[in-house]
This record gives sequence, C-alpha cells and structure tokens, in this order.
Amino acid sequence: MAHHRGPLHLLLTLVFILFLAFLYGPTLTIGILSFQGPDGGLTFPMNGLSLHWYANLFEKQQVGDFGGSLSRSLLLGLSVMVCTVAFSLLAGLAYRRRFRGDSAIFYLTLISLILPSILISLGIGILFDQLGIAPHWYGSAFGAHLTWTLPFGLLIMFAVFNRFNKVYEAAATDMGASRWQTFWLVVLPLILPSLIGVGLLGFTLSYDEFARTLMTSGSFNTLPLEIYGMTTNVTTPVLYALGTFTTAVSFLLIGLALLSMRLLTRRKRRQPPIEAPADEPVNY
Amino acid sequence: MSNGSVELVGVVKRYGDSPAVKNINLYIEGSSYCCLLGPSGCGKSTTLRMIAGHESVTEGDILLSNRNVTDLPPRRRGTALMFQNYALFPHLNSLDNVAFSLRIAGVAPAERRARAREMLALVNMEDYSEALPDQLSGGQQQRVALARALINQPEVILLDEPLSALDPFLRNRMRTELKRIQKQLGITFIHVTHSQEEAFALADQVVVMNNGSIEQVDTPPALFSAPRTAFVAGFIGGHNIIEGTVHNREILVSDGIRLPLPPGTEAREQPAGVSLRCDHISIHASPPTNTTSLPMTITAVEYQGRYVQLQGDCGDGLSLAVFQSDQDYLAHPSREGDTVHVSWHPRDLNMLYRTPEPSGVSPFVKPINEKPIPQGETHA
Repeated sequence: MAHHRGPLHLLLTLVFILFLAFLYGPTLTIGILSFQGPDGGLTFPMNGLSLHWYANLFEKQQVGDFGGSLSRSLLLGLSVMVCTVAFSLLAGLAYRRRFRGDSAIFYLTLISLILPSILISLGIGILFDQLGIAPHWYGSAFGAHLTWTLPFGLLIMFAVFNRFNKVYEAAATDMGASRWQTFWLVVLPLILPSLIGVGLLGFTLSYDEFARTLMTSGSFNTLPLEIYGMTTNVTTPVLYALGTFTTAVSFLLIGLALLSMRLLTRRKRRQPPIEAPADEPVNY
Repeated sequence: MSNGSVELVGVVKRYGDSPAVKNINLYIEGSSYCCLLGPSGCGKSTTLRMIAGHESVTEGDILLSNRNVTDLPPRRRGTALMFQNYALFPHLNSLDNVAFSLRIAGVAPAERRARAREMLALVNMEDYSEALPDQLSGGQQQRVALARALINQPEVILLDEPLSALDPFLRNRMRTELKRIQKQLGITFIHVTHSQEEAFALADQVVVMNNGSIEQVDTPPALFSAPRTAFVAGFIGGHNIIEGTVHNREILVSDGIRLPLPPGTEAREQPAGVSLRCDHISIHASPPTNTTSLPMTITAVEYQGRYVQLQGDCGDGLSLAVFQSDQDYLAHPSREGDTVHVSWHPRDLNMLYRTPEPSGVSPFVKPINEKPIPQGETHA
C-alpha cells in the first residue's frame, strides 16, 4: 500500500493548487466582496454582510443600465445560439461531401478566427457606417458575434460527422426511409448531444464577447460593455454583485443544458440493466 | 408472382477503371440458402450490395422474382440487408429498431409495436424489447438485426458476414438459428462469408468467388468432392493440389512421378493438375502389395484432435498433407523424419482446370419457361 511519492509529486501538487487559485481566486474574491454591507467598499475588509448590493442592482442606477444590458445580452446570446446551431449543422452536412470551392470557403471561415477580434469589430462598424446603416446590438453586433461562433461551430460539426457512421443511413435507406426521414429519424437524434454542445458554446461565446461588440453595438450596450463602462464610473460593490450575478446566470444556463441532456439519455435508459440469459455471455 | 429467386445476368461493377465484379451470371433459386464464399476483396460483398441496391450496377441486370430491379431503390426491391455490424440505431430500443421500417411505411404505432413484438419473439428476443443496442451482447444484437430485416416480409434476406463479429461459440449457435429461421419462413437467404465451414454448414448452394469472378457454384458436398479450380481446392482447404500435365490417363507431376488417373475421366480441356483430399490418403509402414504407393518422408506432425495432420515430402517436388485419423495415428505414431508409404484410389484424383466454371455447367440453372418482366414494372 505504501506508495512512495517523491518531491516532484509535492511540487506538482503545489503548482496545481496555484493554478486553481489563479483560476478561481479572482471570481471568488468578487463573489465574496459582493456581499459587502451597505457601508462596505470595493476592497477588503468586509464591512458587514448583506444582500444590499444585489437589491441595489435592480434599482435605477445613476450610471449604467444593468437590467437593459442583461436582457439585451441574453436575447443576443440566444439568437446567436440558434443561428450557430442551424448554420453549423447545415454547413457540416454540406461538407460531408466535396463540392466546388469547399476548401476556399473553409479557409475563409477560419480567417475570422485568426484575425484580431477588435479589427473585425472595427471593420464591421466602418462598413455599417459607410452603408449608412445605424449599428445595433441586434444587427451589426449580432453579425459580429456570428463571425466568432460559426467557425467554432463548423469545426465541431466536422469532428461530429467524421465520427458519424454512415452505415446507419444505409440501414435507414434499406428500410425505405427517404433522405429527409433518414435525417430526421436517424441522423439528427444521433448528433443531438453535439448540437446542444454547439449551442452552449455559441451562447457563452456571445454572452461574454467584448471586443467584437465594442464597435458594433450602436447606442445600446450589451452586458460586457456595460460592465466595462461601469468599472470606470461606479465605485460601489454593486459592480461585484453584477459580476457575480451574471456569472451565476451563465452557470445556470449551462446547468440547465446539461440537465436536459441527462434527462434525454435517462428517458431512453429507463430500463434497468439487462439480465443475460444463462447460456449467453453479455459483453457490456 | 414472387418466388424469391435472384438472377444476375452479366453483372459488372467497375470503380473507375478497376473492375470489382467481372461479368457474373448466377441463378439463386427461391427459398434457398445461398452462400457467397471467397477471400476479402473477391467481390462478394460488392455483389451483395448490388443485389440490395446500395451499389449501382455498371453493366448487366439483376432480377428478383423475375422482375428487373437493377435501377430500383433498396426498399422497392423486396430485399432486406443485414449489415456486417448490424447497424442497429443506437438511440432506439430493440422494439423501435425492429419497427423502424413500419414507421417509415406509416403503420400506426400500436400495430407496428405488436408486429415488432412478434418478430422479436421469432428470434427469442421478446424480453429485450426495451433494451438499447449497447445494452445487448453481440449475439443479441444480431437477433434484433435479423428481426428488423424480417419484419417487412422480404422475399430475399441479404446477410453481410453476419457471424464474423461473434465469438466462435456464439457463431455456431447463431448459425443453427439462421438456418432454422430460413427453413421456418421459406425466405431466400444470401449470405456473404469468408468461412468455408460456415458456407458448408448453411448453404444449399455455395458460390465461390475470386478476383471478381465466380469460380464455382455447387452444393457443399459436390464442391468439396470435386473442386473445379486450384483456387477453390485451396480455399476450401483439406485438399492437396498437385500440378502436372495429363498424358495417357496419367498425370505427369515430374519426370519421376506419374499418377494414374481413374478410368472414364475424359477431360473437357487440358487440366492444370489434380486435387487429392487429405483424408483420402492412406499411410502404410511398408509398401502395400495390392496398390501402387509412393514413399513419403514426414516433415511435420500436427495433432488436431479428430485427426492428425502429417506433412510429407515424396521427392521430385511433390509434397503432400495427409489427415490420419487419431486412432490410426496412435496405433502407429509417426515422427518427423520417418519414411512412410502413401496410397490412394485413382478415383480420388479430381481434375483441376485453369478457368472457372463456364456458365451453364452449374447444376443451378434457371427454369427456362419463365420470361422476365420488363424493367420499371413494380411489384404488386
């Protein structure tokens, strides 16, 4: 039992603890500070413990429109999510066979991942300006977010369809299914978990996107822009309450998605494990 | 009229310039069990997929119950294909997998479930209707796949290496099961395999394929007693292949060895040699007086249980494998380096030809009084 662990093990453990501290420390600090008492400041020590700043969040602020920016970001994130799933799926299906210009389109898509976000944001902003269209969070910013989420979505769909066994489609065809029925009854259910993953990624990428929104959101801010604006103007822990609250929203959404995936598989597996008949070995 | 017969007329499959199947003519009687036997890459699976409609036909026609189905999609052919790894839909339980084609056909849920249960009962899987494929063993998955293929009452079931994914014990059990179901339902089964043991155990008609062509079509006993080409004799195993030229009722193996051929064998063409079953060779300690024999130096002895395989050298480049019954072996054990005398009856020498069987020689000939229905007409 006595498995000897050398000094290297100790060192690596220390490095890992440091890593965790750097990863979660700041978020945790902000979380703790958000529960400051009404007279508390932006730094330690804690001056009492209250939910004062959370209540304050939902009141009219002197600077910053928290409720408006949160709902804008949620709406934008959800729209980006829906479009990312739909377009990535269709593009993934298209790339299952070769077509003229497929690699050109692929590299064009990837370029938007490589270019600095702020340049893309700037470009879209200038383009809208030149065209005489007012930039809006639901217009230009929506497009700017898609330039970020679609390449990721497409890459994930590549991986999904690379692993997809075409024999299932052949089996469906053999049993008389049309191409549409094959897609709807066989392909889609099998790739559904991956699609949920693409959707989640699309949402989170959009929800906290700053650089690509900066020059494209027009006169109304999304949440990350609003928070950034508030850091320069707001000097109370309401900022921390805001940060903690939005992080919680993200976690809640991811949790809901994971739960729905779990329920989806549970529903299919409601049957208890199968007892093998005595004469036949079962390999699970 | 649907009798479940399958006919391939001059069927060719080419991928680009390379032929996968070269001009195949084959008639498979309805309600029979046919095995396509051959090594990998011989075109047997391609042929099966062409019959199923999953592979286009480059040239020639495929007739099913005398309907030309060459250009019909899989479902309108009256065939059902059982895929090599079964291809059960992982997201559907056994019942829904079996009922899938009924769902496609628009059968009401209650009726399709009832019919799927009947099919599961036929393959003894009624207790597993709620199980997902990955909760089933290989043998259980295969039963479900078979039920799924059977539910639409196809005229022909096509099985692509159905037993290769199973362990040897299960393989023998499922083999028996396949034959039972085929007999019970009277459906034509076409089964692709590379195992001659499987083909012999199951088939009414074995089609040996090599290199995109048919080498021989026969019943298992006929195939084993008279392989037509050296390839067939080698592939089914248990045969010595002795090359040589025929001259004056003798086969000339080398300057020193001439083997007499049985009387009455008139070669249709110049044979490439003869085959001699390993279990039709007798071993003697001293030269037998009543028959001609050859001395043989034993080079290897392998105990196989039911028999012992002796490998030996008769000189002049002739080496033979002999299956000796374990009783005979244990009574007179021989060791490597021993010299024994081998003999056989001349009638056990079977002529081998260079070319595959010409069409028309096969015992499986299509009845001539039936006229094919023109292409495009659908099945009532």
